[in-house]
Amino acid sequence: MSFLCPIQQYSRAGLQCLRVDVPLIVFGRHGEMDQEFVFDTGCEITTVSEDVATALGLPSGGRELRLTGVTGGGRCRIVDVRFQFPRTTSGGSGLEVSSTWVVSSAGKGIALLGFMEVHRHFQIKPFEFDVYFIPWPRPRGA
Amino acid sequence: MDPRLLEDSEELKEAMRLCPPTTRAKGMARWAADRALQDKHPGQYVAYIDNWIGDELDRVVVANTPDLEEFNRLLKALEPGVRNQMQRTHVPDPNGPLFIGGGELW
Repeated sequence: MSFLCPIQQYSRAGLQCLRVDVPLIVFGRHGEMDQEFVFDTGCEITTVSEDVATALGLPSGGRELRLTGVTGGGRCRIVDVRFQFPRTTSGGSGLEVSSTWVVSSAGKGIALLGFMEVHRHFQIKPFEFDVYFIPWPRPRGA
Repeated sequence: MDPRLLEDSEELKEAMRLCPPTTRAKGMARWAADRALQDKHPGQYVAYIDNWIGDELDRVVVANTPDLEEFNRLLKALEPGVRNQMQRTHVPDPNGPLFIGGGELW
């Protein structure tokens, strides 16, 4: 179930930045939808903006909460999702899991993969140009 | 040593055997291609295929648009063989605001 993702380089306002995108398959009303998520270790729960939620066919409604970030706050709602991590290094299907995500009313084109979402399934091993995601060993007898 | 670390190590070794870490030459070529995407397609959703000849990279863009729904329509129209090889990304606008991510639920 291991997979790896490239570390991408880009610039913003003349500053050099790095980013890791994790491509997920999301199972929503539209069937299987591909979506890149920015791996964001500062994000407490995986978060998408409403336009991305619509494109992915995520459920409407859901419990409402307040959300805050460094630059401000807003409203959000909680939805249940099922999704699949990227294909494995051996070419097999990625790990398919259920989870709970936040849909934020703020922002556009936002898709953030939270640290907990990844850490509950994978160890994270960064190298210079790639990040390896390695499944946790199963407990003895499991 | 925690036996879990040994197992971890075996899992990582296996993953690295199947997909070795990118060499420095290839990594720098890939980063140059990432920056080139910003020059040509800032702020757009882009799907591309990386063709390697040794350490040289030929990155071919197969779909690009600033609109997410349009992007998904374009991808569905691609041949399955192309879709299986392609990678997709949202190319940051080099003149756009810095993205700091993160968040906190109340």
